[in-house]
Amino acid sequence: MNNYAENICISVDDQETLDLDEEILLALDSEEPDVAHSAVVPSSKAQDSGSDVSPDPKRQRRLSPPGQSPGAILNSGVVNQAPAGESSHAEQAPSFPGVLGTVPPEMLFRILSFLSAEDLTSTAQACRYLRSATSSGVLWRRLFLARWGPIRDELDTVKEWERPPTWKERYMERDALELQEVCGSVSELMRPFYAQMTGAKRSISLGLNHPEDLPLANAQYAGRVVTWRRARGLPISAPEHHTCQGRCRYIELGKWVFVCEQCGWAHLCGDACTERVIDSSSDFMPVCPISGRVFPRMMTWVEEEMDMRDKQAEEGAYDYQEDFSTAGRLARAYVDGYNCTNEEELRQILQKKGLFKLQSDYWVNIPLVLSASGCSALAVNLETKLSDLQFRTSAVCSGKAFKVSLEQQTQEGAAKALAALHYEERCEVQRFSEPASAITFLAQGTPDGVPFPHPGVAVLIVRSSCPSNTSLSVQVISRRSLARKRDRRLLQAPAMAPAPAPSSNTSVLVPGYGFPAAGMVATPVPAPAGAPSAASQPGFPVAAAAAFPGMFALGNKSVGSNSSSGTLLLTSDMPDTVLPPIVVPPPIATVQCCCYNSSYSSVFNGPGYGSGCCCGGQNDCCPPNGLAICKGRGNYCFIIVTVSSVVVAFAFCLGFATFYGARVLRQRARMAAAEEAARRAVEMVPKKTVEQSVDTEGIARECPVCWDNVTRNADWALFSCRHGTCDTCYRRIVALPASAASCPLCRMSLVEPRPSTALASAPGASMPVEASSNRPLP
Amino acid sequence: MRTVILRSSDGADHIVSSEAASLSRTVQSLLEELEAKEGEESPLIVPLPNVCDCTLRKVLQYCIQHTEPGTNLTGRIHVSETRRRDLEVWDRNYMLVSTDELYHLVMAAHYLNVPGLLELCCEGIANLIRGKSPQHVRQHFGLVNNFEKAEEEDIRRTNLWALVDEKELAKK
Repeated sequence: MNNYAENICISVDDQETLDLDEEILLALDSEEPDVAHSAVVPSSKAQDSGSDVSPDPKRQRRLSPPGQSPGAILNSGVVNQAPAGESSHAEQAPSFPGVLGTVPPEMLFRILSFLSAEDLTSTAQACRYLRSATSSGVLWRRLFLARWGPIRDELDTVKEWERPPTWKERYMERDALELQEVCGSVSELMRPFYAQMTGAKRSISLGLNHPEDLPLANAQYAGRVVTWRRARGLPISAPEHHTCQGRCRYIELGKWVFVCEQCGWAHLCGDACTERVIDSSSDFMPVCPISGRVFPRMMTWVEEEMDMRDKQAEEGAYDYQEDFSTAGRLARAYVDGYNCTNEEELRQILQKKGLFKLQSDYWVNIPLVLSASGCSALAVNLETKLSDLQFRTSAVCSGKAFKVSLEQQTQEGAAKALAALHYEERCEVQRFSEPASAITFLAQGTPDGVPFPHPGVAVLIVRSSCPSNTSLSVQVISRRSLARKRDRRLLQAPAMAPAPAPSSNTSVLVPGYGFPAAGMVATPVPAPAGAPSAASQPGFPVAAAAAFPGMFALGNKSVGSNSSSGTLLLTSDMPDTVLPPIVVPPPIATVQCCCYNSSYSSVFNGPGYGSGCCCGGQNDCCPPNGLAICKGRGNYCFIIVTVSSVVVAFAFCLGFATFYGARVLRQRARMAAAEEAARRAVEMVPKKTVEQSVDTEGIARECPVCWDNVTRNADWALFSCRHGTCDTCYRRIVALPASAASCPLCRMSLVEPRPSTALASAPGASMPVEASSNRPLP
Repeated sequence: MRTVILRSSDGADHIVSSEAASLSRTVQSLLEELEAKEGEESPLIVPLPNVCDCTLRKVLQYCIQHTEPGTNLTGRIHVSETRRRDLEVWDRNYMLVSTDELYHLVMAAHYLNVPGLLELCCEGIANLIRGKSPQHVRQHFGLVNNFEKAEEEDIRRTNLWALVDEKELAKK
């Protein structure tokens, strides 16, 4: 039995080794038929004899196919075995989704992580499934980091409201930038070559072993790992592979940084974690066994198809031909609204789609669900010229920031947008955050004070730092009457004179759902009861016809533009990061609401923030943009505030001037005194008397120049630096030109060879030079 | 060194050393269970219902090659330089298979959980994709283009590289 097993082992082994020697080949050539026949036992026999080894008859066929000697197989090697395997697989192989579709998602991820950026883009264009697979931020992040290194402070530069760009977008953008830089700095002749060189970097691919390793991660962690390895006596450089087969224990050295206790292999459990396995116990989510981190699941081919079919089934009633973008759906809904012939039909559609109909001076609550990117949108049709719209949001989570923006396209603007791709009207409500449950936004219209002067489509976009799937409720109030004098005056400006809204003022609002699951939502424009209304507003069919390209353009707006909402509408990529929570500034003071219903913090009380009152500026007591203390006092308050501020400013200026003037005067006096003192001090300096040194007569001194011994004072001359030489040397030095004449010891230059006159006048006097040179200079 | 019998889905048995078999983590854990249940003496038969005969044979080629003396269990860490180079050459030749076979190999490697083979196969498939245009990818892997026309245009635009873009602009 043992012999038998070994025999087969050898045969299998040898057959599969490529580098067989010629001798062995020859030897096996003669042996092979024997082995093959002895090894092959029919499987029925094997079952009879229990655990006996029993290779299948198929195996026999493989070993010696008809018309081919076993030696030929051996010679052909592994390579030529492939067709045989293929033919046996061909019957079982699935034909439709192909290899890439049926491979498990996490395997697909592994496959894709071998690809370069260039390959990823071309793969993305193959089919939908591959597009969603290749747009994974993890893959692009690795490529980005490998090419340009980690980016710092990128979260700071991204505004809170904007969806952070996906890693793919980042990669493409950075690549274009680099290309631009490189090509911009070289001559025209060399440009194609440089462009080619830069472009070649796109085809760099990484293996599995180059996920974000420690050098790419935090330097602090890398240092910690190295220290740990040193303490354990392990080699500092990381081993390439994990040697313990996953049986060792891990120590957590930092956030998501794990080190194997035995071999020091470090694992950084980032987004590109390669250790993830599918956990069947938890709904087949990928889980990293080391860190326990759970990753989002990729949809398989089948699931995606099912999802698509479900969506199609939902919309099958309307037999939509195209269902590819939110903008398209929006436009279709518009067409739907126009195609309704009567109220009844419209109501049916509204019921089917869960739409709301809003009449003037009414409000409606619309549930909104925040998507993963923290935003949600709904389309509002402003059929007639409204004074303003008010949005009340009741947020479940307090302390989070909200931003509501309303973007409107006019009829003309929509037509224009075909070419120009920009918004005609853009009305923005400022950021508002308040730790209260109900938040009110008042859309304030254009900067020139005219709110929504044109009828047409407006898209309300709510962005928030609340976690995704937070359900919000947006209350939309359409207000026809103008409550405030100021507003009325503004509206009566000659260019924009709008008629007061007629009673047929209706808007249909549609709840928006999170992107991208259900996409943005549609707004059918209801044909008001009776045909003449449609005829009386000839602009509307035009708007509807133009709405499609207009909104489509809106959706396709480029990423780099200023408006972030353009990209928000159509994004299908999952964002990489959740928006950071926004820190709400602590309230400065708490002010009682003018309606005495609630109190609010005065941080938000100022222009742009609304009054913060519970009435939302509806009551006359509470101007939406005024100071809270001014309630009910009208213009007097303004005067008082102005006058008092002027007085305070004047007093401040006066005080400052006094203080400054006094300081300048004082400084001047001090300077004058100092000058005076200095002058007096100069005068007071006593004149130095001639110093009579110790009598050195009779002591032998050596001249530093000629080494003669001098005993007489008369033969000794002193320079102004009180160094001395013999008289002859002194004369020689003094006779030199002025630039060269200097003390031989300290090289102090003799500016004026005055001593010569002194010597001449009194040659016999004791220390004549010294006396003359020590006299203070005038 | 014990021998293990691996039984494929169509009933064929393969005898390999336990060392080679335990390169697959799935088989390794199964072996441990079996050993605990039936004791040291009895022959170890591991049924592998998800792997067909040809694929199992191919996988075992890899396992045997990578457990030859001088090779570490998990691959190429303590291997000498020449041996490593030989193995790499062997791996490269090993991957010269048709797409269908590669697919079955990937599935088997996934099921049997052979890390080295898995990596090798993924790289092999990635090499098939590499340098292909979308049309070629579709053709090669039997994919169906399920994009709408406008959507395709949109996707083509978002996946344009700067250089290509420039060239196109220059042509226009």
